Amino acid sequence: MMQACSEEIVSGVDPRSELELLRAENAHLTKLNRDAFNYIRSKVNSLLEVIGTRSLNPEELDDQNLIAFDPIGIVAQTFQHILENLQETNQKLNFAHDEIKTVFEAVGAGVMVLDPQGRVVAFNQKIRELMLGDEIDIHGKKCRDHVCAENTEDDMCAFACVMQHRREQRFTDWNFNGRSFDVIGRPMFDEVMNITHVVLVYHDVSVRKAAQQDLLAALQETQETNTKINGILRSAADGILVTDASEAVVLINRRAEELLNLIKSEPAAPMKIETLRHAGLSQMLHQARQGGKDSFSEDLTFLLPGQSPCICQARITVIKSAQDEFNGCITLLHDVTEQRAIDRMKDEFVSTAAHELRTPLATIIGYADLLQMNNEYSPEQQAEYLRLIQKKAERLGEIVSDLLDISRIESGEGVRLELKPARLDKLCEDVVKSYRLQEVDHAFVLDFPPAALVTVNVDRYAMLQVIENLLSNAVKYSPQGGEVRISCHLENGSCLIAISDQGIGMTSDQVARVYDKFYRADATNTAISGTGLGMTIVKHLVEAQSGKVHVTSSLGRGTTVTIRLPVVSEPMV
Amino acid sequence: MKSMKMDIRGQICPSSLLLVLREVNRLHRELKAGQLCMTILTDNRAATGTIPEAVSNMGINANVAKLDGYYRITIHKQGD
Repeated sequence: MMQACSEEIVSGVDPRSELELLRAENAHLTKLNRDAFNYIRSKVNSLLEVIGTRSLNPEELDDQNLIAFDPIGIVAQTFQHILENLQETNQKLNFAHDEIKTVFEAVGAGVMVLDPQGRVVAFNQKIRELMLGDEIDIHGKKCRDHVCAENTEDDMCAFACVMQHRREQRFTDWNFNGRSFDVIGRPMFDEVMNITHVVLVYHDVSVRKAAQQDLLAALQETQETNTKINGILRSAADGILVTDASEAVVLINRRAEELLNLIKSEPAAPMKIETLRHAGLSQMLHQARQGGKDSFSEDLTFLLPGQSPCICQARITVIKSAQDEFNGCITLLHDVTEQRAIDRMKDEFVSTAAHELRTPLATIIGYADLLQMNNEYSPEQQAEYLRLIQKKAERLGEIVSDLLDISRIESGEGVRLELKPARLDKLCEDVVKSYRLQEVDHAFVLDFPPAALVTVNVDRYAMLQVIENLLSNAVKYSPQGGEVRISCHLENGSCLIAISDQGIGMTSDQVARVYDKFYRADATNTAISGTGLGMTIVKHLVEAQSGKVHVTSSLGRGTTVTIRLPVVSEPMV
Repeated sequence: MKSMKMDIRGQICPSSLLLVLREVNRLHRELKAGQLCMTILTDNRAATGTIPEAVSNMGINANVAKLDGYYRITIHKQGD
């Protein structure tokens, strides 16, 4: 149309028409311009509406400035940036999705996602391994029909509990297919707090539970063993004391508490070495800490209330770590009171025996020398010397016999006896007769009333040895000229022979120990000979013949030893 | 971090929004890199809704504070 108008103007037909044409053309161009601006404004407004703002009025921005301001360019570039941001966001979402998927599959627990109707939306490989196996697909199916088949109680259904309480729920000891699980159920909400999904996480704790049970069993066993060991330690006859590196007492048994006079009601606070109330033991424990020997022992005396002092061998063994560091001590307190007393008596015996053996030997050697060196002695003198040699040799023989007897008794071999009926009055007379021949200045009184002349079943030689020993003691421990009475009477079917002297007597403590081997009531008096074995042998021999020995004594007034033997025959009257 | 201030008080939407978007587009790289913080002062209440929404779609954060008779919109990288 514009081309046709131009051709008419060029031809120059009519200036008025040309003007009209120009006007028409101008109007047409103006309309086109307006249409173009309206189009631009409508597009700008559409774009502005998209980005959430109101239209751009011509009053606010006229057409000239609209082109210069270029709102379409601004919005287009804005959209470009928004798109770039969306792409970035999508990339991040994809990455996050992959990440979640990886975690979902790689997590050590079984994870299952349910919709609000309890249908399975998703589950990971672990759920398949733990519960389903390779064949079953539970997508879109009710979880309860497959997983909870064995546990259909509502209060044990994690999904039901989460839906009911609308918050996280935890269950322990949930069992399925012979496995134990800890189950955590968690709800997922939308913007208006409706539950969109429920996530269930199953932790397989079968191994841990089995290990816990094993551990509990081991712990119980350890506790039982510990109780047994403690019981053994506590009831051990020896005192046991264990201290740690800080010198605190970590274990002490009953015997050690007794020895250290520790009272049960004392506070149970850790006891230190200093509070043990025994300077010697504390000193030994300090010494162990200071180093040196790994094990050492020493005799310590413990004073117990109302009892005789107790001698204990304290043996300390140092406990060391793998790095050879001091970790404490174990102390054993072994009661050696009796052993030490025997040791002491043995020492005394050796001294006494040496003296006892040397005295007759000196006499024997002296008279033998005299007889060898001088031939001028009269036959009477020579006979006298030989008699003395024989007497001392017999004494030596007695000592050696005592030693052999006690050796046999100690070894358990005992003394061989041949029991035969015998008259005690006769045996006593024989012994007394030999004493009278020995020029002893004591007065022997035999008091055997007719009613007591009975027969007893004894070994003659053993009984002679018993009476000889008792008479020997009576003579040794009573003054010259003192009376030694041997009396006999019957009592309840037994024959009682009492040998009494008027000698130095003994205290009750000395009487209590009179049968101890090597014990001598007055060991300090070397003028009184003896090995300390006589009464031990007497007791053994009498008891071997079914008899009993009883000693009564009064210090400074004398001693009576009574032998009770069963009667075989009736009195001879 | 650089900062710039735009005072568009007296302007109403959509020109206030377009003015801000033009500057955001121009300085987009620096804003995304967290090297620039823009402060916009406006007295147009509608702009306190449109400007933050538009820039947040571009991954840029915007905080609005009401001051005495006008608003301050702070535009910076998300998380800063």
